[in-house]
Amino acid sequence: MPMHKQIQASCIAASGSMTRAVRAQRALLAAGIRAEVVALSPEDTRQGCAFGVEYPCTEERRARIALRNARVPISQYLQKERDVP
Amino acid sequence: MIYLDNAATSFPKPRPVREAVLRAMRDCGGNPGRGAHRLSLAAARCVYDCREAVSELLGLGAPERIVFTTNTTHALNIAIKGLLHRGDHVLISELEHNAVRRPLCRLTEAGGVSFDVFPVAGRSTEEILAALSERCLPHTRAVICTHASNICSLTLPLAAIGSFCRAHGLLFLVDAAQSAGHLPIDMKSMQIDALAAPGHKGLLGISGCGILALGEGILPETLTEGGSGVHSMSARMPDEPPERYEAGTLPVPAIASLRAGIDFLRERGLDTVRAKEEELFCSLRDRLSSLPDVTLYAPEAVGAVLLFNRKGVAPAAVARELDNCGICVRAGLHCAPLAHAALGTPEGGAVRISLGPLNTVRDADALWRALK
Repeated sequence: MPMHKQIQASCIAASGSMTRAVRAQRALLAAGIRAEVVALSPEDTRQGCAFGVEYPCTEERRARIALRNARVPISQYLQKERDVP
Repeated sequence: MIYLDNAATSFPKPRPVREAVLRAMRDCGGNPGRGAHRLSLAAARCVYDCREAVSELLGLGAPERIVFTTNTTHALNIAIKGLLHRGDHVLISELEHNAVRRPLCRLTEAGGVSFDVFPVAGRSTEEILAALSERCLPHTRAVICTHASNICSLTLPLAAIGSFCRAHGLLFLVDAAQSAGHLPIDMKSMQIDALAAPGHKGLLGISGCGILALGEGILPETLTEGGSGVHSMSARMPDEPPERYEAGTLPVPAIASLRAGIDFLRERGLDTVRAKEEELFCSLRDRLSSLPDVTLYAPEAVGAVLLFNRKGVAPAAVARELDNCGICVRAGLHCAPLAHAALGTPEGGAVRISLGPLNTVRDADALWRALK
């Protein structure tokens, strides 16, 4: 039986280092936004390995404000689609 | 066994510190910043928590500018060799440890950097500032000094020296090997540009982790290059701290222990810990000063470290005899020949008693009984 897959969009703030990613996660959690530290692939960043923080795209606006207020440097904002079984 | 060598490394470690090491090995076994699986992330959280705790303790307000090094010496080497350039002149205090003196001598031998020593012992803050001013040259770039001596309890007026440095456009680098965990430090108000400290002394962590705290805009050249977990395509280290200076794998259990040590001190209160050490210091100093064959060095400076000699007995022999009584102290020059010269100890140095937060009146009494 074929498995039905759902496509879900996820938003990621690429922060570069793990330290900044954890800092970004703390800033988002403090703002009440669910957030996970994720590893970014070299294709995502074109710089090799990097880390970022993933949050629901529905929180995109609030997330950007929270990260800006916390002065977490973000190199780029990404939107990725991923399969949800 | 009575341990009075806390200036070398603190012992015993508080129970929460020992438990933190075990917890880190059990729950945070991944490599922080290398991948994003659950154990790597757990290790990264543990490391970040410690950066936050250290940043708060030092009044820095920037966890990402807390760099974990192997030890204080490593941190000082990064700061000294990474910030000074050919032609620079530096002022250091007469109380400096070889961790400051030797990297500077290396730079001097390699050419291009020179340094002068300013006096501290027996001088007021105004006199110290005047000594700095007299030695300041047009090409002076930095003042490097210890916060607290490692052979006696003399301290340097960091806030006043920081103001002097700011007014003269100098970098201010501080060796807090003996003060972190013993004395209050506020990098912002003291205008410190870079501060090096150990995790395993006053902060009560295990050995293997030192601290380099960098002020805003301070970005030394790197001393060590290698894997950082990020920007792997680049042949250079990342631009931003802390990863810029943390090539290779971090000692997560040591970092976890450092965090637990800071928490332990916070719960007890730095002031309370300090007051207890000073009480023991005064009790020992007053009793030792009553012995006619004992010479105390800088006894007026009250703190955690007391230096003495017995007339006609080599310091090493005194330490050996105390060891036979189950009391651990350290004799010799304590890697600080400049400081010993400043205090006027003989060629063989002196005997150092150094107290920690877990020492008790009973320990001081036992030392007194062994010496009297």
